[in-house]
Amino acid sequence: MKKVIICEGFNDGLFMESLVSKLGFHKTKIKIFKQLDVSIEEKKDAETRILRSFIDDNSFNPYDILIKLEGGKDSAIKLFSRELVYSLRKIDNLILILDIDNSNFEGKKNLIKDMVNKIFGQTIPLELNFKEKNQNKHLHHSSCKVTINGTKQEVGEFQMVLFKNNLENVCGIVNKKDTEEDKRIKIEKLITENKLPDFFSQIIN
Amino acid sequence: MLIKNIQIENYKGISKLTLNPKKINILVGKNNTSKTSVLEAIDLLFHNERIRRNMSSYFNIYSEERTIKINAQINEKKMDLKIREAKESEIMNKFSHDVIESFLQQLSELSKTKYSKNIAKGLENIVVINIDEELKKYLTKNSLFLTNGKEEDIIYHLSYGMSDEIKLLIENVTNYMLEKLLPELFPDKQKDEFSKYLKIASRNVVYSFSDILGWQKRKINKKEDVFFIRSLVGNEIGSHFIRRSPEDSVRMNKIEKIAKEEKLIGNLDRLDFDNAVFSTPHGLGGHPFSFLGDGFKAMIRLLWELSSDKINKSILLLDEPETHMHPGYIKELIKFIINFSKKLDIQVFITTHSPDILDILLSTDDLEEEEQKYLKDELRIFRMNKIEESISMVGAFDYEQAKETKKDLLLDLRGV
Repeated sequence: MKKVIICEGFNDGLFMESLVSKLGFHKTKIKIFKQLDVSIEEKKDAETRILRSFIDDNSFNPYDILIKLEGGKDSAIKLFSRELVYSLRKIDNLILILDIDNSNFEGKKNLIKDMVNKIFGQTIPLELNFKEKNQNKHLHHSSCKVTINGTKQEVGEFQMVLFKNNLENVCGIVNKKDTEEDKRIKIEKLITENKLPDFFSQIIN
Repeated sequence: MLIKNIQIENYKGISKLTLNPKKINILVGKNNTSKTSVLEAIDLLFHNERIRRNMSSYFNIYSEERTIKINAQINEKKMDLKIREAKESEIMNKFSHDVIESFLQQLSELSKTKYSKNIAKGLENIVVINIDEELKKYLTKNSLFLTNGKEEDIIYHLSYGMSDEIKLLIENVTNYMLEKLLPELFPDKQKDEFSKYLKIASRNVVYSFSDILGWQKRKINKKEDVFFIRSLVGNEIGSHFIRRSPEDSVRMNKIEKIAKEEKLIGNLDRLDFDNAVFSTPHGLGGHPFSFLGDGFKAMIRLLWELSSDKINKSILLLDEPETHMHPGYIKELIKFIINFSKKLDIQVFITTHSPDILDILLSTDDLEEEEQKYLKDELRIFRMNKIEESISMVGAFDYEQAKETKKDLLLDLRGV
């Protein structure tokens, strides 16, 4: 069961690492891919290479979960729109984790719709049907079915989890001051105190 | 001529697909994602005479609807083509018409006599009555009905394996003419002569029934302004060069100039249809054209097409042109395409698996500012994929989107 989790930045990666370890996936191999870790020589088409090798069923790919950390404004959504719509059929569980920042659920939803529409709108318009599933103090979970507009043909489904504020504010992380260890401790506290493994067990299964 | 929008339905691997192309269109994607089928469908819209055989293989096997639809907005005009399997009655009428038209044409030439439409119609009915069941089944299976909304046409493939059935059919028609029509049409003294002509015409139709196919004059959407190059190397270049005229030599001379200016091949002194002559330290030395590398031949073939008088404002379809080419040649190929597209107002569709083509198109180092500016306005990359083998998923990327996808998102534009 292949899972791809796309997050926005480095701290989200720490959050997911800690969270996944508490979800009880025994013997599950997790690969965390950060753009910044890629050397200049390997940069060309690096995202595609990592995705291709992850999606393909071959013995050289031992991982079950790929956590992708994106940098830059909206690049997680751009990556999803441009590449992962193609892969929806091959990935069992695709999860987008975003901060709401100054927007709201509707705003993020529309941003994803716009991005997908820019790429596919002219050729084969896609319909994204979001359904609110669950929420707690800090998080909002919705699922989204992707279908071909005007038909019932389903392309796939993905999950979207939004931090109502953003991870840093919720945990009290101060980016330039806190060390990686400080961040891990704060994130661990957030996960335990808010019973987030229970919240995510319905999403990452 | 510019295709602004094209919709393709039920053609080969394509269930339904819409493209809004620009001047330079690149189609990328894995194998079996219908890239070449898009080129074929565009070509078919203009050249439906290219349908020759394997009629049933044109339909999408995943669709229950056995109708191919290709609709396009070309400049301000709409162009449509609808293809379905022909009904038995339609193909019988068309085939009997073609056989009798071919037969009477030969007879007219021999006897210097014109025959009335009534006679032709009567004979067509004789063909329908006498047609063998095997031939009927074969024709029904190997025929198509075409329409562009205004005109209609039926085309069929006739195999030489059916020659016995055709022979029997023509014999029956000849016998009918000898027994029934001859006494009515001619006075006694002309009978012998006419029956001689009748037998010759009958034999000619039987032994050269490809002539019947010659009667299949395609009349729908026939235009000559689409050039489809499936392979830049191979036999096609030979056939161009064999039938050469003085104008072709002038064309080759222009190509020689370009090959020298662009240094496509080192030390080239002279290039013609037969040989390439090079400057060597020991004087001039020649090689037969056929001995030259495939990459060079491919460039010459492309230049040959681009130097055609008919290429202005046309549509050029190139299927994987990078085959046999070194990346250095690919750069030249891209530059030629950009410059010819701009200068001669040509719309280009290219299928490719080559990362080099995409890199060069989006490069700031390999292309001049003017070339980059043209691509900013006129480049569109279509990334093709399939869902469950039946639905085409096509993403469209303009220049800036494509550049961002490669540079910032580190994605290979050809797809996962």
